[in-house]
Formats: sequence, structure tokens, C-alpha cells
Amino acid sequence: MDEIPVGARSIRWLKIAAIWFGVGLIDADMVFAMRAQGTHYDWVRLSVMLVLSWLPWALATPFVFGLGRRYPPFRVTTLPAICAHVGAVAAIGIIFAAWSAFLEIVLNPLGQPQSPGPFTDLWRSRLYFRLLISLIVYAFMMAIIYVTESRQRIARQQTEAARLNEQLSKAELSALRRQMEPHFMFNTLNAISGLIRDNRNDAAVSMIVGLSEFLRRAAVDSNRPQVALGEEVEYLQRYLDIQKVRFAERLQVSVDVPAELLPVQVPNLILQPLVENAIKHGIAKRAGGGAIRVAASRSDDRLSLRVYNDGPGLPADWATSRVGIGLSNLRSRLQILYGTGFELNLRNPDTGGVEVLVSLPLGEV
Amino acid sequence: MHSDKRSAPIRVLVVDDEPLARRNLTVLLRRDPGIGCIAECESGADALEEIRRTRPDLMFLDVQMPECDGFDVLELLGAEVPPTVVFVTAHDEYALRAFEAGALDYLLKPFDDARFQRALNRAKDKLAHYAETPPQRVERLVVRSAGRVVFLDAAEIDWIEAADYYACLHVGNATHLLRRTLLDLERDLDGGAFCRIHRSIIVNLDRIRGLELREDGEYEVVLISGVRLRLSRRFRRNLQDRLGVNSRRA
Repeated sequence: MDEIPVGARSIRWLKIAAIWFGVGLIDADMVFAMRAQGTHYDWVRLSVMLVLSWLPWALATPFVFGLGRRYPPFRVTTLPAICAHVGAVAAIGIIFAAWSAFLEIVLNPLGQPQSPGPFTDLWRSRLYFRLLISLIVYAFMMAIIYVTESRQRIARQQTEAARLNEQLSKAELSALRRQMEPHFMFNTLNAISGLIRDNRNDAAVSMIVGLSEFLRRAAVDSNRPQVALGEEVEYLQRYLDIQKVRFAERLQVSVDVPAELLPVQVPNLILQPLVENAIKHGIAKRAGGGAIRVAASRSDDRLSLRVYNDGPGLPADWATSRVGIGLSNLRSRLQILYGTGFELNLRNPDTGGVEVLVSLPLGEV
Repeated sequence: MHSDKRSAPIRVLVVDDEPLARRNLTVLLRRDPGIGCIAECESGADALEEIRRTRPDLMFLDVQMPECDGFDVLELLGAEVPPTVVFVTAHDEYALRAFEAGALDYLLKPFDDARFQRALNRAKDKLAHYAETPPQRVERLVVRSAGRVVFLDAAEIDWIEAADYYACLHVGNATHLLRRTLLDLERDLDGGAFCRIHRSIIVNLDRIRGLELREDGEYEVVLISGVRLRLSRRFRRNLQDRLGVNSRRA
């Protein structure tokens, strides 16, 4: 409403004029009823007067709608809101009555021989009736505002819900795709064939089993939004067992999750992708390998998950690099689950290496 | 089918950062009586050293390795690349680049025995052919331009610059355009006389006056003629080794 172009403003006034002209005509239909009863007045003057009497309402319309938007009717019942609405009805009613009295004196539609009395008397006599009509008209206008605003609100909520849904499925898809990282699969299968060619059949079988467990979890439960931390740790362990066979002594891992935190609910697929990233950026890039530490802890009502690798620190432009993009996927998933109630930080600790810290509100135990 | 004209056992180098991935290859290689000693390296840097020391006939090379990947190994070796190189990787998207870099074959992980045997046979064929007619080091280059034919002694060339599918030869104040890729030319030139210092520059070692450290921390190669060429970081150690100014000894 701030910046309405002149053209649109005159169209709006035209609409308002048309509507109130219509209301005036409906009001004027009493003329026909009176005629049918056989009374004789100046019909044209009477009709003109009745139509014109709605002019204050036409002029007040933008103000009334503005007020309706400022203090939404039937919802907000604060004292200022009530005062504003009651004041508006009273003011418009008084002006409405005064304008009607004025028109009656000027046009004298009933054709009385002398003027219909002093203005103040006439105004006072019309006041109650006009106030009553004002109240009804005002309530009707508020109802219109209420209905249109509600419809707009529902539409807004629907778009918002659709947007969230879309984000959720995107996050799910990317999690699934990351899990099915084909090179991880091919390299693991290649390692298994190495074990077989080396006649280490037991090791080969247990690696096939480990890979199957890993895949089962990916195929079956990728659409549960939250799982117990214990499940996440177990899943991570499967993944690490495979990676340890592949990287041998180059990969050193410690997982430190207190037993009492195992039943806590956490987002599905949160640990393994973080560790996968840590391996990709911290271990796989260094010939000497490195160490990864995974730790969970609680303080008050929050759960902290830390994934640390002692690899090279982050480049200054990490936020826009591939690392940043991978984290932004996780960030959008956490946003859907927790709104603003989570923290996700990537930093270079003073001791070197890279640490990802996720802090979540503690769910039901 | 492969020929067995070559009698000396083939010396093989297997380069992969994963022990089990190397195991796949070494187990299969040991079954073949034509294979001599088998060396293993777990990084690109180790492979460079091993190749310069032992000059293997055949190399199985992984692409994705820490610090120095398979393509880096080939680029840093220049003319010292073993006569046959087979890429072994889980990534199929590097195939084109691998063949451009001179790979003989491209094994996708995991591979079966038959596919491995095909790769090995191709390598044996090429090595047999190589034994019959070892590639001649080119002493003279023939440059044609505008109706003229110029014979250039390789030793006359100061430095060579890549320009798409051409190589630009800088000889004193003159430049000659040769319709060959830098990689191709590098393989033909005497590896002892020339050294790559940048993705697109090869330099004649005899023409180098010195190295200079610029303000931004990068090095420049200064030629006797005064020309300054950028030394790319990844080729620095390689060049220092060749010039005998290894930083480790300093």
C-alpha cells in the first residue's frame, strides 16, 4: 500500500465509488416500496439523497481497510485494537448522521412546506439509527477483510510447506547419493577381490558382510528423519571397518560416545558423511595417513558431536569450496529439523587439523 | 596374441595407495613366468624415485593417490616415463586423459583375471616391439615453414613452449613452429638434456643460468639469453634434482 501508482489509485477510487453507489441504490429501493404504498414525494430528490448519503462511507473505505489490516479483526483483541475499531465506528456513524441531516435539509426530499427543522435536532434524531447501520456495515467490512486475509495466509502457509518439503527431499536425495558414492563401492569391491586373490577368504567374507550391512541401512532407512545415536555409531563403525581394511595403518580412528548418549535421537545419516568428508580431505590426501576422532558429549540440554581430523587446515576460501557445499547440504537438513535451534561450525583448532562441531537440542531419551 | 620374442623378464612397478589394490596386481603378476621383479610403491612421490632408480619396463598406475596423483607422476617423469603404462582406477572418467597422457591400457577396478591378462598381453606386445626397435632419440628436428625446410639440432634449442597442438621452438632469437604436441616431442628428445619446468614449457638444461626467487614466493628460471620463464611449483623439485641443487642437501 506504500507505493501505489497514480493510475492504480484512481482505479481503486473508481471501484470504491461503484460499490458505494450500488449500496446507495439498494438503499434507494425503499423509494419504490413507498411508491407502491401510494405516497407522493419527490422521488428523484429522495433517491439522489439516499445514494449521496453513503458518501462518507465511500471516503472512509481506505481508512477502514487500513485499520482492519493494522488491527486484524476477530483475532487480536488488545485494548488499543478495540478502542481503534469502536472509535472508528462511532466517528463514521456521527459523520454519516450529520451528512444525512445536511442532505435532508438541503434537498428536502419529502417536500415539506417548511425546512425539516434545525440541523442539530435533525442530526440527533438520525444519530441512533445511523450508528446502528454504521455498526452493521463496519462489521461486514471487517468480515470481508478477515476472509481475504485468511485465504492469503493459507496460501502463504501452503507455499512455505511446499518449499520445506522440496528442501527435505533434496537433502534426502543428496544423502542417499553420497551414500551410494560409486567409487567407494568400486574401491571396496576391488579390495575384496584383492583379499580373495590373496586367499584370505574369511577376511573377504567379513568385508562382504560389512558392505552389505552398510548398503542395507542406506536402502532401507534413508527416509527416517531421526534415529538413535547408537544406530548412527553402529553404522559409522561398519563404514570404518571397511575403510580400515582399505587404508590399513594409514587410517587411525577413535570413536568416543558415552553409553548414556546412545539412545538420544539425532538426525539420520549425520556421523558417517562427516567422517567420510574427514577421510576424503584429511586422510586420503596425505601419503602418511592420519587420525580421525569422533566424540559426542552433552552439556545441559544440548548434544555436541565433534568430528576431528589432523589433516591440513582449511583453506581461507573453504566456504565456497566443495567442503562448504557438502556442509551446506547438512545445514539445510538441520534447518528443516531444528529451525534455528542448532549450530554447525567448521574450524581450524589451535592444535592444527580440522574440526566439525554440530550442536543440537537434546531430544527425548 | 602377444609375441614372446622378448626374452628378458619384464620388470614391473605397481603404484597404488591401497595395499589390497596392489595385492590384486602382484598376485596376478606372480603367476606369469615372463614377469621378473615386481616393485610396489604406495605414493606418487615414491614412484618417481623408484622409476628413476630402477627404470621398470611396465607400470600399473592408480590415478587417485595422495599428494601426487597418477597424472602428476607421468608429467613429472617427462621423457623418463616407463615404456608401458597401464592405468588402474575405479574412475572411468579419466580414460580419455589417460590415453592422451600416453597410457597403453586402462583397467577399471575391480577387474577380472581375463581383463588383466589382456592388459598384460598388450604390454608384452609393446615391450617386444620396443626391444626390436628401441625408439631413437631425436638429434635433429625438421621444421617446415613457408616453403623452407630447416634442420635444427636438438641441442640448439633453448626452450620449447606448448601452443595447443603445436610446439613453439625458441632457438636464439628465432622461433619455429612444429606441428607436434609438447608431450610427444618431450618423449622423443633426449631426456638428459631437456627438463619440463611448467605444464607448457620444456627447457634445455644447458641454457639455464640460474633460478631466482620472486617476491611472491614463486621461482623463475633465468636462461643465459636473459629470458625468464616461470617455474611451476610442482616441477621445482624435479628441476633442482636434475640441476644437482637438491634442497635436501643444502
